[in-house]
Amino acid sequence: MSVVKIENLFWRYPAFVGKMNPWALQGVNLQIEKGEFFGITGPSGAGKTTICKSIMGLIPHSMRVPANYINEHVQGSVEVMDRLVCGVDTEANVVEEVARGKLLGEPVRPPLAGMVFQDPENQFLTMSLLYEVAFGLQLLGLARDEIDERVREALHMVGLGHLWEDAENIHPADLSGGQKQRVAIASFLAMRPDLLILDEPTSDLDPIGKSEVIATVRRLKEEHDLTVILVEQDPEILFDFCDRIALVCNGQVDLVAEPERFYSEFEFLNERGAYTFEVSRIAYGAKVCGEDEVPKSIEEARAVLTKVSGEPTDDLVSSDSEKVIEVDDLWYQYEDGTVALFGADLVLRRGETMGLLGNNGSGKTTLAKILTGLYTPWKGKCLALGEDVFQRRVRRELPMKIGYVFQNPDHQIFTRRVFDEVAYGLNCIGVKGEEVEARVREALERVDLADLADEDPLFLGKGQKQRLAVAAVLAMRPEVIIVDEPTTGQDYRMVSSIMALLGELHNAGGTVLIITHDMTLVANYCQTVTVLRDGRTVFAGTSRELFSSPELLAAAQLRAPQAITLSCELRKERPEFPLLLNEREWVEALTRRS
Amino acid sequence: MSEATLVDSRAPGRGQKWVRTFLFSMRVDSPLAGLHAVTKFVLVMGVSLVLMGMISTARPDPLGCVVLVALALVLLWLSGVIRWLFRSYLVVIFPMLFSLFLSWIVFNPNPGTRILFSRQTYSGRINIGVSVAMIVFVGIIVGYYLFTKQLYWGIVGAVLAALVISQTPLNLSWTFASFPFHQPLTLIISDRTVYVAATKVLGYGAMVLMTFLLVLTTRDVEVVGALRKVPRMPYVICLFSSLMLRSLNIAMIDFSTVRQAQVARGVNVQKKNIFARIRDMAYLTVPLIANMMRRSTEISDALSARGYEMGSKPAIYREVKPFHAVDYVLTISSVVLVVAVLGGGFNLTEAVLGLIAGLKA
Repeated sequence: MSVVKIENLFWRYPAFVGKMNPWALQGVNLQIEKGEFFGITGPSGAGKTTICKSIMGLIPHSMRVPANYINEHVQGSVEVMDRLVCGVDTEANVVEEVARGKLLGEPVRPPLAGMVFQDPENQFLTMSLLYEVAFGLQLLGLARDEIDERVREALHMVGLGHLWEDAENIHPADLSGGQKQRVAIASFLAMRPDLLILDEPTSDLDPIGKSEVIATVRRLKEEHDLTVILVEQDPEILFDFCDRIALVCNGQVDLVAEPERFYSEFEFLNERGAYTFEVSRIAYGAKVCGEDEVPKSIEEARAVLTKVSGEPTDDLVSSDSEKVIEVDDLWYQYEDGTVALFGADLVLRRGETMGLLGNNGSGKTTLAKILTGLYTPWKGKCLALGEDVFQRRVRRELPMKIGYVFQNPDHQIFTRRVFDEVAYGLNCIGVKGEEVEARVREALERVDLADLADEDPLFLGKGQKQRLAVAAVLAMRPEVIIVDEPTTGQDYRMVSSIMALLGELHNAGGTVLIITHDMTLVANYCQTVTVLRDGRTVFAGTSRELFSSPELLAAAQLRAPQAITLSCELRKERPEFPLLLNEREWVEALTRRS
Repeated sequence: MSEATLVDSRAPGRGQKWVRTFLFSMRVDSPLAGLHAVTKFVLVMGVSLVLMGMISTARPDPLGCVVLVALALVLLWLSGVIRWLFRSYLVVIFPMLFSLFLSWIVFNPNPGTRILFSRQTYSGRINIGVSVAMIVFVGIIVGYYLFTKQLYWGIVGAVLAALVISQTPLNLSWTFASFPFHQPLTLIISDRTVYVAATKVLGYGAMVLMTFLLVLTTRDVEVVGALRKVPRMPYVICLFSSLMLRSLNIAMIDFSTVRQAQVARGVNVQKKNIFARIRDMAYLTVPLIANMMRRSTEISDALSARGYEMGSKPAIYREVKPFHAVDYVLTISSVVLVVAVLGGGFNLTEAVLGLIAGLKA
């Protein structure tokens, strides 16, 4: 039996001023069966969220489509569990002898279906964990004991059972981003829906937390005969947990297949900007296999990618270059008394690109904010470019020397014109006249936004906004750039472009500190890494050292990318096999052979 | 999946000792945590009314004020917020009470019986003229501004210089015109003015502490719960106030992030005057409004996804707290106290003094 049936769905977001928006969905056809774990993937802006919202009926019913323009905005139909969610009577509503169309159907209500959105902050509607999970149940009109029972059960399901006793006293601000996402999932699980839609619910989580959450949902699906729709970018998650995967691109469903066959369509996925497996890219890039036999797992790759010769050239980490940042036994305490750093250490040398790693809440961002003068450290030693960060004067001038790109570009756009945005920081630090013009042009060139200098930054795409944020910092010509989670929640193309940009910065001699969960990014661009755990430094060394030790990775709760796992696996049998860190090294080593 | 791997070491959990309130947090075991929001409100309002009576100029009651200040301090201490309160607000509270004290010493119409200090500050005539002190005063401010583009220390320096010069024979002055205006003013400090001023300061201090006590120990959840108990209150108002409080919380987080992003762009690198700083604040509106718009659509989607539609009336859960015996007792005693002090003219200081006199006799 089909739980979801979408037929030839067209949808256009209403524009309240000016000309009409283009179609966001252009003839979507999709059938999802009962009990399926169904994955949806594709580049940003392809229409993945739009499809999910139309399954819920939020589109078109909550969208205020002008009544006389229904036919221009909606076509096709959506049925969920044999109920019409969206349909259009195209012949109805005749005005001035033209049929304008009439919307049919009703949105799906819980407990039939629930949808967890991307940003956990915005879904937390109340001020207490208990009432948050209970809210939907109160709307269902359940009795107090029943609500108690279900809230407790739901918290347990998502691994937050230990919070039940204090649930009433827990404020959203007490929870980490990952915990908030679990709460969002729990608040729907408590309603015991038949269909659960998860729209990139794990983008804020560290890799381990991410697979734990999805594994929980998968287990619940098995136990309660749930149907799950999961929007996700990560091929490993989709491959491991989904029964079928759909590729959404330009408002259409381009491909629906079982994971095995889905990721075999390597060229097809690549052209459409979807994530593919690293081992597939290596094998295909080095031309050791045809398109239809690209490896997807480590197991498959072992069979194909064994004939490698030569040691990879080791990264040159000049340990004698000048220390630009030196942190020794640094402590930090928040105003409310929470201690976030318990003696962190970090040494960053000129010209180095370093990865600052650690799980959610390990103190990475706190440390970075101290280094840029935003937070005042508590005790310990902290030198930035030879100056003591404990001094107020030094902290005030740090932004000129250490640039900080925040995680969310929406938080750092202060003007309504791309050019002004880059010039803003320059004006703040007192750069004047033609110098401003020259620096802005140069920075925009470097991030490839020179053509958009007169646009309004608020209307740029997410990837462009992020590059703009980098440009705004670059123009200030800082000696060190700190980039916070540059790849979180972005699609493959955006990640590639931001990675290329960071690579260029490094090649131009820049000193870069990257805060990230993305191990592929680290393996590609960071020569050294510092790993924090619970506010302490647990590892500092080269990325090669970190990735060559599975024990270290496990202790730091990190997960190596496929390229490294593969070389580690091969080295178990053949210790002379080189530790190849990334796609580039692999492809080089493989092509050298031929 | 074991639960242990999921537990974040800094995460809240069993035996959480603190709970967030409107302002900061309080200890979970605070005596005020168990009280109904209405009780707390009545209590604080009642005490404030009582204090209004106690600080009357005619019959001040310093002992009563001391008792209430002590009560507020003990409750703040039991709630675990006193250290935080003094660390964050002493800078504001202390100068405020001190200036109150000074003004009540000076502007008290009842000179009392023993005059400690007296000095005429205004002779009853306005003189129009120029003096050396005045020229120095203006000169320092203008000069300082021209050189540094700053005002603050210029004004401070000018005031000090003018004060010093006016006390010396160097302060030559030339009067062009003089006419009478108002009556002469005399600064008098007497036993009575000190007594009244001390009572006023204690009284206002107690009021400030009580108000802090209310916002430091009340949770937004309690207010929403209390609203739901109001007869015929449409649910949408409860929901709206709850969402508003939540959005305010998110907006505050956004504000601090956005402000940090601005500082990271070097907004504080150069010294700036007050107008430039106001302009900097204006820049914050762009990201704040953009985020608010995005969030508001997402919040409305999240509400619909949970099944809320206009007119929904969710079942009542634990948010509505019962009114316990202790709530009744406290509410009634506040009312009794108000009636006794404002209506019956009860004055603790006089009562105690009377008692002591009676014992002596």
